[in-house]
Amino acid sequence: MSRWLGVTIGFGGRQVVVESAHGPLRRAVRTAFRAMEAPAPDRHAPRLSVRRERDGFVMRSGREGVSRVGSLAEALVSVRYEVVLHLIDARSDFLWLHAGAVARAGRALLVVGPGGAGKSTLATGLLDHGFRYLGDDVVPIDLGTGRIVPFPAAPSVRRHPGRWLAPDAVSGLPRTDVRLARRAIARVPAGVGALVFPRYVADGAVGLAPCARGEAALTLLQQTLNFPHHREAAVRWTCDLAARQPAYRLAYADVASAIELLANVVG
Amino acid sequence: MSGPEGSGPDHGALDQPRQVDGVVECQVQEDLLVYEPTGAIAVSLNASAGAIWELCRGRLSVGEIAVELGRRHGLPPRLLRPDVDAAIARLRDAGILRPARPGAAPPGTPTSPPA
Repeated sequence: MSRWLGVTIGFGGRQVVVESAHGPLRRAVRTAFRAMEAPAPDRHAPRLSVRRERDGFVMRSGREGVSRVGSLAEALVSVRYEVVLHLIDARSDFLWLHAGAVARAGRALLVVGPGGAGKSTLATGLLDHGFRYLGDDVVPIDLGTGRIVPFPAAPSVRRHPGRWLAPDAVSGLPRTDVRLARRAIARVPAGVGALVFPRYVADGAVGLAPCARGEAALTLLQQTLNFPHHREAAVRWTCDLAARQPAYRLAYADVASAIELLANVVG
Repeated sequence: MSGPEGSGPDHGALDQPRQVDGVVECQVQEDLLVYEPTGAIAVSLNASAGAIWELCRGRLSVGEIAVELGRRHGLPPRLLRPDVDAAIARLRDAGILRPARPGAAPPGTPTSPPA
């Protein structure tokens, strides 16, 4: 009898299965989705298959067809991306944001921004200040309750050289998955307690400034990943959130100082 | 275009600017977020721009809007006019204002050459 060579990833009652005979890739996928791994695959769960070939990896999925990448790192990035897209599609009833989130005492800090803003680094750093991890790159919102639902794919942090880089260059930096202790992961949804829009700057002291409420709502809307599914409901939720909760613009060069500052934003 | 305060810049046929139909307005404390669903356009307005937006009902000219705001705030309309012009240009460019008069072409509409 042959051994099944796959990883089943579950979220919100839905699953995606990644199948590959390539052991290192399977282990990397398992590390990336350890907190979301399901014990057994549903017969109807969509499947991504990844095959090692002489010149790289070939990925097949129902969504994107066939794609090829060269390295194991690139294959893992593609698999992560595909898994997340499958789950966003599967739970399109949630409003999905391009954001990171951590929670303490049931109140979440939502870190919103484009790639390279430091969402993952800040969210991961806050775990040393009593916060629990909700997500680092995509965050689902249950519009029925207004709460953030945990999406605990392992945080993927860029190895930053410690000096200013153009946004395009930051996006191209290699990422490392951070392995979290189980107790660091939030298991229940959390209401948003504050919003922060980070921006990495060349130098200067860390600065946290209040953000105009309308601007906060607009920036949140710009970071929605499935706006067409929700439209007016998304507008009303973001406006309601921005009206009720404080929003800040964070400019930072030093990550540790920024994390210290953010740790006090949510009571 | 003319009004009580004389001619302003060209507002692209928006003599009497009017909000497009079907917009959704959400008050976000002192700001107003306007969402136009057809084009999926969202615009955030501060309190000043929101007051101008509220007067864009297709009844007042741009000059009359400046007069009305001047009356409310006890300021000469000519002082307010540049800000009103700029706000209306921004709202027009965002696609959430249209002309009041039936048949008046919105900005950017292709026109036929004379026969």
